Amino acid sequence: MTKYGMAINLDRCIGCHTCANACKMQNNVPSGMLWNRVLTEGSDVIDGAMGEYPNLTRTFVPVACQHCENPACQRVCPTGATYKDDKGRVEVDFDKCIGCRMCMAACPYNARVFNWNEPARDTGFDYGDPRVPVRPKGVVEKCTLCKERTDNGEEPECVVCCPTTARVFGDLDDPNSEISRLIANRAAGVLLEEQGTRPQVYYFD
Amino acid sequence: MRSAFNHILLAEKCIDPLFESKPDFEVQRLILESVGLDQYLPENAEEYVRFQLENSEDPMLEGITLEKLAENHCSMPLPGTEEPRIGYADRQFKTPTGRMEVYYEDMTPVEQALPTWVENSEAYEGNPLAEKYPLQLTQTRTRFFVHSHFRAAKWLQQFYTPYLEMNPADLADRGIQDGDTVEIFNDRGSFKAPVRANAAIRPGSSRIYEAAWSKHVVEGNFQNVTNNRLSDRHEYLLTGAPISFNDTLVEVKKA
Repeated sequence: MTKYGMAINLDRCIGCHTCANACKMQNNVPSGMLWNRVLTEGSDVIDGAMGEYPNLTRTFVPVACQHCENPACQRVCPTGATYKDDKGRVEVDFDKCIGCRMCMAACPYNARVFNWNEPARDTGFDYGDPRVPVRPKGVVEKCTLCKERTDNGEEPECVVCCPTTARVFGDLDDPNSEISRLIANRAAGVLLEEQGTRPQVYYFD
Repeated sequence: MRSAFNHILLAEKCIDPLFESKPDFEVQRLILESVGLDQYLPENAEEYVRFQLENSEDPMLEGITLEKLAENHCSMPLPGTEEPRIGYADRQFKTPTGRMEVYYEDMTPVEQALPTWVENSEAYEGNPLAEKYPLQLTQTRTRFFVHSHFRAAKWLQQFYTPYLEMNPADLADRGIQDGDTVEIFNDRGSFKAPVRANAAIRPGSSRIYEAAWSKHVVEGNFQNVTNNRLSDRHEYLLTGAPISFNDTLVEVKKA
């Protein structure tokens, strides 16, 4: 079986936001929406810190769909629009999505965004990879693990564009893959483990 | 290691680094270590130089080794060099005196013949003005823009719009909440912006990312408060008076 996942090195992430915009471009994400956000741990503002001055630490945490093994979104989707595909990715069938947004309420990671209106784009035209479907008003959307790229032997755009090579993509079911070895050898964890969604996105340092 | 016209020079250590300063190469190593990529750099400067000499295909480096350089007092002519380059053979220098200057003769009236540290004119310990305006305002760079460039880019505005940042303790002292619109003011003027709580800001100071366009600021312009004092040495400086943006004291109140 193939089970695609991602591992992110939090020591290397410098909070540059290249991945956030690279994803937006690749996937033709409309104005006012992001599939991938870069948070500063413990702070509501970017470049914040944890602790009390001067004893501070700062960690940037990029967050997008965690492609969970036990997805909360899939569980609540009334139409089956949200599904786990044959490569372990959580995907949305836009033809089946009725825009109820139960998935958005269920997702502990706030990974999804919604097309409330006719999607607008700051450029006035569609951008990015023409293989990516253009979503209509009234459907939800989120990180697809760059399905169109990874189906074609390419890596997700965020992985390719990260200037510090903080991201690793690969098959979690292959024990010899770089990602599997990383997770085995480093103290890699997941976000909000207590929610029980069993993310396929790991974080380590 | 340097190329000096028709010679190659090995830069020797002159003094040990002072205080916490470090040679460039050590800084590079430390940065790469912090992101786990230091295995791609040579271990030390000597290894780096040795690698450059031994792996170069440049015929100009034929026969030049680290050992030979060291034996030759760290300077060797490149192959085929007959005469070493002699700079300033006519002893005419492009200085105000026409002579080689080991200090700035013309800056002695302002006591900067050699670079001399001078206390801040406003943000200094013990300034009585701090009773009225206790917060230092700093305008610092942000990764999202290059000074005032790219400010209109919608995809960058996604990540940052102008706001002041203060330590949560300083906000609490003033009864200001994270997200409130505040007025930042002193005797020179004021501007308004939202304020955000940020534990990384040193108490007693405030930070705003520099060079926002006025139209993106709630009211006014950051420079309405900026220290406008010109130091007495400015007329001697090649590029004129520097603006001491961060040598500025302000107070902040809810707008």
